[in-house]
Amino acid sequence: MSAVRSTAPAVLPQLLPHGAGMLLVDRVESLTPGRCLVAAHTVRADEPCFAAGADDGRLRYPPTLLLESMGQAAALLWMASTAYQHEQVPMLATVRGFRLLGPVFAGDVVRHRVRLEHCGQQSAMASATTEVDGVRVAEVESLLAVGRRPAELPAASAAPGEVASPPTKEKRA
Amino acid sequence: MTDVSTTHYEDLRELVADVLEVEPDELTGDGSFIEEYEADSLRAIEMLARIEKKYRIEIPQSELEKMENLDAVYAVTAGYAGWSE
Amino acid sequence: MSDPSYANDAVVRLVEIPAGGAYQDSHFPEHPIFPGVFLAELCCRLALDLVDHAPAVWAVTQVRALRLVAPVHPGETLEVRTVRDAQAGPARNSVDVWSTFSRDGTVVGTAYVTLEPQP
Repeated sequence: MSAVRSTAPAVLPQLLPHGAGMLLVDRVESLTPGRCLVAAHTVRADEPCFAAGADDGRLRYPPTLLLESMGQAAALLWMASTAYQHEQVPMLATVRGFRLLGPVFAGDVVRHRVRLEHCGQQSAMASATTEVDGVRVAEVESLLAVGRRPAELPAASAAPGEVASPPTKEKRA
Repeated sequence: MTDVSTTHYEDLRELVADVLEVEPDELTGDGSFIEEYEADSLRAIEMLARIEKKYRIEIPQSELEKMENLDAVYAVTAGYAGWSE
Repeated sequence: MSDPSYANDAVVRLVEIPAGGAYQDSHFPEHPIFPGVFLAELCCRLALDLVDHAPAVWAVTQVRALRLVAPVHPGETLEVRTVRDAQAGPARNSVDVWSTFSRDGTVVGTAYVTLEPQP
């Protein structure tokens, strides 16, 4: 808690455990600990998801990355609460009711407004909306994050493997 | 049960059924969440979070292992919520 | 949430969870875990088994429910069972799919998503 409270909101995202490639929140613009937060992320054209380009030249941001960005903003709000235990790694556990309401493109600044619905020491629930230039582009009814102890998590990566097996059909009764 | 305790119990039934994704009337008081409703550890955390939110209480995660069916959920929640029923 | 109704056959695949890349190398640097939202993204590929005419590109425009029961490890193989929800999606060309990801018979994640074609 002391690390979060002593960190300027603008650089709070650096406290997330994500490496640079997966850190999808650039800055916290406002924070009311235990209640709500506004965080922003600029969708950059050089993000890995755009590596293949687009036929029409319009780089559309994958909605799942938008959801990840919302989740990271929610994690920051939880981390700023007095209940949060800082020895754990905050991880997304459930999502209910995420909807993309409009396209998001490279160059857009997405602004997440997150409301903390409940938090405890080892879990937190939040809802969020996302806007670009004041227009709502996404919303999520409920995100649940849990804290996992580092000792529970894998410490080494497995080698990348080959493609999936051919599908098998399972007939339903 | 008193009317108030019945209401609390039925409210918990609705909440737990929603978490387990079953119909409320499928949930029995002593039916094991794990064995009869295929609940996993995440369901337990969801249930705890939603109970804490609804009743504005804190229940230690250590109580989760006791909360194995609806009756036990009611008993634990009543204790922390201070329901004198 | 009601159970989806089944009009098509369920499809079961063994899926090797992708590893490596700029996103996954950063999630997290000390604890490699497959990002949970990417399970929803995998549904775009899994749904190909269940539709006759897939669009060139589609996106997950709704995550109705995503449950990440246990961390998924990059490079591991999971059994994935996918069904198509026969109830009408929000748009005419959309498709709803429900995928269950299991490790050694234990569910580690589920995703219930809506996919829509992208221009």
